[in-house]
Amino acid sequence: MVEITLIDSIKYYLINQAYAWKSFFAYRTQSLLWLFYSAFTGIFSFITMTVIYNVSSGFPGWNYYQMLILSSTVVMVIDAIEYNVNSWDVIRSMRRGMLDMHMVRPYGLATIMISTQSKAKTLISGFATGLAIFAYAALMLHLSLAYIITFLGIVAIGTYALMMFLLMLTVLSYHLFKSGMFMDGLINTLSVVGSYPLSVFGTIIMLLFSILVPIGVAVYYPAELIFGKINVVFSIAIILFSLAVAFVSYKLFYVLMRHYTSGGG
Amino acid sequence: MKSNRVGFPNIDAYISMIAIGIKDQLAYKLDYTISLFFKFINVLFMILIWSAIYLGTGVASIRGLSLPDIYVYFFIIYALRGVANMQLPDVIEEDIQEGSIATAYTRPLRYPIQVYMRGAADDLMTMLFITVPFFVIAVLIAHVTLTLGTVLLLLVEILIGYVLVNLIGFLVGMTAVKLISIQGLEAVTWSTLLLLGGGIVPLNMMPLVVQQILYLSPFAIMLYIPATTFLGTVSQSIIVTNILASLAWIALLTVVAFIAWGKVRRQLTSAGG
Amino acid sequence: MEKVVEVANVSKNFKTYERASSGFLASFRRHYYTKKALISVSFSISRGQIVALLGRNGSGKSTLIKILTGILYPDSGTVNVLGFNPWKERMKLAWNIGVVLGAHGQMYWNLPAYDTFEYMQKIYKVPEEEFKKRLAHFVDILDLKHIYKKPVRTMSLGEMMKCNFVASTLHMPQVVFLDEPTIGVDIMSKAALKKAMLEMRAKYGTTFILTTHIVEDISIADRVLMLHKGRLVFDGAKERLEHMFGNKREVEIKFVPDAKLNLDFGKVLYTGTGIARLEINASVLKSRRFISLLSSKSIIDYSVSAPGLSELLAKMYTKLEKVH
Repeated sequence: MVEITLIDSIKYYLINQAYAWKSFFAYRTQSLLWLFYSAFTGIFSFITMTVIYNVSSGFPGWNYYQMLILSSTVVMVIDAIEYNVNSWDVIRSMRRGMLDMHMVRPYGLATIMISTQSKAKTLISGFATGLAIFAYAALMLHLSLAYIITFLGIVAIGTYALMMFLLMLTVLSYHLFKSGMFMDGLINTLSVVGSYPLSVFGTIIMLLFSILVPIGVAVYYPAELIFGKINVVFSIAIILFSLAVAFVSYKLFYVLMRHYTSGGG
Repeated sequence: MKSNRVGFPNIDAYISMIAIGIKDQLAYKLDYTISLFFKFINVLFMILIWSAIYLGTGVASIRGLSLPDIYVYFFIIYALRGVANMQLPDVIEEDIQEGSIATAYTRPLRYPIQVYMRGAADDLMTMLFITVPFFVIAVLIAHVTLTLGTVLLLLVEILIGYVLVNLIGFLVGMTAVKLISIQGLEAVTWSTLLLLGGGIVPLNMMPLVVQQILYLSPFAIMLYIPATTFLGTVSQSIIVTNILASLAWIALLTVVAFIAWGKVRRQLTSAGG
Repeated sequence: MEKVVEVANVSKNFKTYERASSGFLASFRRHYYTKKALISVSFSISRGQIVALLGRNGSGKSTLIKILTGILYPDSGTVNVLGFNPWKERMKLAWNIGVVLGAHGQMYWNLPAYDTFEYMQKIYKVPEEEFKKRLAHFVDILDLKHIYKKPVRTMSLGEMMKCNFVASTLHMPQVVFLDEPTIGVDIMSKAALKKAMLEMRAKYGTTFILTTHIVEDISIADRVLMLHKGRLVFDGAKERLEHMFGNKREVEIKFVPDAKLNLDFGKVLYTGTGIARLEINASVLKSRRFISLLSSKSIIDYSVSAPGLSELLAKMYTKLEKVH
């Protein structure tokens, strides 16, 4: 018997990715085609922002390139989350008992769930497009490497928190409804809301998407930090809040899994 | 025993498919209700976004659309998104992946019509819970007078858009025979439809050259043309151009669908096993 | 003998619903009720035993397996598998158990089975030399030489099942759980799986627990546990199961067509021209009158057999339905 460490969990995740990609490329032509057209999903927000700033002065306090940073980041965040936690796939595998096979492995349940998602591989090309647009905007804004790394670091923490939150919500949805139709709607909403400054939605909605469904900590507040709209103290608070969200979601996830009833007999 | 020739309309069977599809949707009522809620609030978010753009720019109108026009525009757009539902790729992909296509083939019903009827269940639900309420809201907040002529024109445009969406959806769905998984292709098609159909940004805000191309595309009639017909902000020449172009697209895509379906038909039963 | 599985008073309920009535509006009405999947189940299993967990569909077999492997939590009772509480110490237990759920559950569908074996080697940290040795052994014993390097999607159900078995046992678990491992599997593959299990038991003392509703599967088992509507209704050797309905024998007699025979020895199952089938008590076989019948010149041939286990189980289920 071996005690599982964090390194082991990371290795388990990476091993699963390796074999999932290997399986993905079993259909070589199709897989390249899949990756190609999925790359376009990242371009739509770029086109949208370009049109808006072509016909108007856009959003108060945010210039075109700053908005590109925001919209490309939300593409990366959502794609990264869906790559690992595709709610429909999680619920489908729980309904059909397909998750059971993985649950008997000597790794944490959250690690298992995140590692064994295999259907959303093509999102990586959407992520890459988002990253390319981000790089372009960062270049045009002359952002220093230090700023970029700081930004991406805080985004990564926020993304992890949001991912754990959505994983917990997915399991809650399965527990309550044995379904997760609404999760698609939620992801679309996060995609829309996260692409724009939260301040345009008013205080209540801003608080909602900062605290309750924290897309703000993954996109909006990190952007505000590097554009000098919030100070370092606030940003530390954001990081701590993200970690708290991740922790609470993680604990709730395990509480919910105690009541897991698998399908498939 | 009375036999029903394949192809001879088996109306009862098709209606049963729609009925069972609706029951299937309602199997998870609370979940479905929450998903509707998100569709409702997304239109509010679009209104807030565009309010910020207008207020930030400090102008009364952008490209002929005032802020109140934009509110109405997006209510109509979200109403029309309920019509342009594009369920067929999901239905066909599921049949291919689950292998249930062989079972569907053994029924004395045409497969493309079976597929459409199953998608139609979701279309009907979406139209009932999204399209109708949003249209009602748009009518209530709009300062336009709808004449009978406008209403008829709207119905024609919506019908053409619905046919086009389903033709495109069917063609996308059939790629599942080769590609097996088409979720990514579906997502791109839907995003393309939204963007090029004026679902995110009104088409008249695009560069002129782009507008002229898009008025000839099959996408404009799905969302933008009906929305601006309702508002009365689109010229008759653009409407006529787009309707004619859309009818040509219907003819072309129908021919493509027939040819492709003929070729794919034999592969379908083996791919789904 | 060391106990590897100890189950005491385990119960599990599920909340489910049915349509309240008929008609279109019935979609909006549900009648919720609690299904008792397991009711106070208690048993223990010793190391090296092969135990068949029998029961009809919905009897609670899969629920029990999922509780023993830590997938589900029971509502009450205690479980100890290899000294671990399965749901509290799931990860620690997981190193020591193998689980086979379905024919291809964990196999990478588009890849050769070998890739899945390699994958399992990595996640269970099996040393390279050990992995090669074990794999060679399994390939030999399960006749996988021309199978394990082809994509799983091209395999038959029997081939998939054999590969799935290998994937679940490469790390040499102490206890292996198999949930309906032979459904749809061809007879040669079934035989190969049984051979592999017996060999692992003999060499490594591996304990096997297999759920099934296929009677032939229990031929390999030392012991049978039978669940019915969540209750453990039988726990013992399979021979005891056979004797549960008395020592019945079926006798088929072929005789000269015109002969008039007295067949009053038990229940006449079938009579035709020159043939009869009887169900009698085993003790009748030794009776003088019966021996005299079989020795008579009118008898052309006869055969004696024990009734099929399927029939016995069918009778048992019928009896259980009346009791529970």
